[in-house]
Amino acid sequence: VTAALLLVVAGIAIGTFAVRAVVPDADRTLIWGGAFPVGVSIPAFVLLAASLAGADWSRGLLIASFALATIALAAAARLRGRGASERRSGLTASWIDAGSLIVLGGYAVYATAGPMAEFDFLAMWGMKGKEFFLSRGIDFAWLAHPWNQYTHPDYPILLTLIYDELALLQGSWDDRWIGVLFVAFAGSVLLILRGVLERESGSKHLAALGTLGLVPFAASPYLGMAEGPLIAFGTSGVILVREGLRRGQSSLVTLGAVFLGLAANTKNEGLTLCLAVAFGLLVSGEGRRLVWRLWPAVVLIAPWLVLRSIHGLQTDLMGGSVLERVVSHLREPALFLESMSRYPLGKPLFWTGVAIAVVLLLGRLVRRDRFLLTVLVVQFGFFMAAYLASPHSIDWHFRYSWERVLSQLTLMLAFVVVSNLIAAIRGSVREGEHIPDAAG
Amino acid sequence: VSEGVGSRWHRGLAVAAFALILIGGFESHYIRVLFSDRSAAEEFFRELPYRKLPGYRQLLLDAANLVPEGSRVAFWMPEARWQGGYRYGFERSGYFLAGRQPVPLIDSSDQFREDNLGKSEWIICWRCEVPFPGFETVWRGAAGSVAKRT
Repeated sequence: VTAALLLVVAGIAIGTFAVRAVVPDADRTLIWGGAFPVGVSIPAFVLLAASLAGADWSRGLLIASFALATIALAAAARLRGRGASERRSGLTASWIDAGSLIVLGGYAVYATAGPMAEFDFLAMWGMKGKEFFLSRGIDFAWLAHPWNQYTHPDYPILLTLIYDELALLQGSWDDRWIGVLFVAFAGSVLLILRGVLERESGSKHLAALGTLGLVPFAASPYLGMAEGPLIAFGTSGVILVREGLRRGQSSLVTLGAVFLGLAANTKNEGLTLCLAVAFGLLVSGEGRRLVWRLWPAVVLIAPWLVLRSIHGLQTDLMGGSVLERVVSHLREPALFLESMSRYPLGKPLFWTGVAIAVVLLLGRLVRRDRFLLTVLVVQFGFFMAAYLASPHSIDWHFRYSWERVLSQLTLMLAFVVVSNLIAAIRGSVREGEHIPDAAG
Repeated sequence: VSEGVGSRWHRGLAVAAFALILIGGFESHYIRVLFSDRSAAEEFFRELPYRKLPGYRQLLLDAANLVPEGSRVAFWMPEARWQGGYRYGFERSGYFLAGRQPVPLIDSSDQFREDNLGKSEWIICWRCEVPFPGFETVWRGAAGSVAKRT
């Protein structure tokens, strides 16, 4: 467990400088919440670069990458921070936050109860991570081998490289404490959301209560799989772009784009999320002029897309005749509905609450959160398109992935609903009023 | 005038929706687990991925001690069918055998792959002895055996 905790601390150490380098006047919740996901990803890109350069991975290489990245980002943060406000705002603790910490503590116990047991970890994420660790680099020939198709070689590899960071620190492959990383990812995104809720509502108690309701959606039960990190990267990215849009602060959009780029490097759905965000900005009035600010996402995902293409690592969704499958599935719309009803999402009270809130606040949601709603709808559309194009049966998809795939969006959806419910309950935000910028 | 929801009625519904989201979204498992038996949970998670092939995890661990890295190793089981357990076993073998190349002897159409057998250097047999000529069983355990090409 020491190595896992060390990796979390090291990630936070680098990440605080990275966040401050991009957003010089970031408040404390953003710095501490954004630090781990960004910080732990930076050495993963160093491992990728080392592999491409033909250099063997080692613990020394990893530690050097941590040290050099920290020095470079600290310098960048110092340079960018000149003239920025020295007084950083942050959240004010509420006694209700103890509830969130207890639930997160329970998640930590669950996440570290044993070795990783999900099939997708053993056959994909962990399998590739272990293979790369033993090869001391990314073995593209192994990925491209037809016998290894079951490992989904086309999936982005950020998560596997993060697992390799842990293995390099440990000096051996051991999945026993990987769950620690999932707790860190969940805690990180919750801290960001908690800060936004308090800034928007002006009430630490309501913000804490809202965050308590969000904990289960950040704490992904799919340990070892990409959902947990993807939820953290994707939700943080979308919320930061939303914050940048609402507060007219382009640096927040840039940092959001960094998170989105990391989401795209985590799972293919992260890539479509970037497109959904771009579309959301295009339909959000002032957002149009900020679309170009998503460039970090493009820069971060480009290397993997190029490598995937060079090595011919194709997704099974694109194999054979895609159009034929789409048409075939579209001919059976009833099958969609049957499968949906056969494999319900669970948590009926929660979904009832969401439905009531959406009906009650539809006008407000469209006015205040057109961007986020568009992102949710477009990303959901991408999920449906993937199901239609899939070589597997619709029933198979609903049975094995429906709840898990939707969990990628549930935190975002719950956040936007909770945020608007709090505003409605408080009645504190007047029609057309800008959200006050507590950091300004 | 607050934009809010405009009326007490609307505000009441907003409070109700908020409460439903809080209560309905709550994951009680993350509280119950605080009082659970951790050693039992660890054992549960350790065996969970292999529960449909009892003993398979230990068989793979034993095989990993025998089969050298870089080898091509196939998996076999009685009455092997792709969706009848073969895929389950094959796709779970690679993790413990990382560094070796797992070879499928059955494809998704349930066709036996003679060509792949020819490329295999080792075979792990769950609850069976290797039935193919040219291989010699070098290890036997409670859940199966391991054979090497002669």
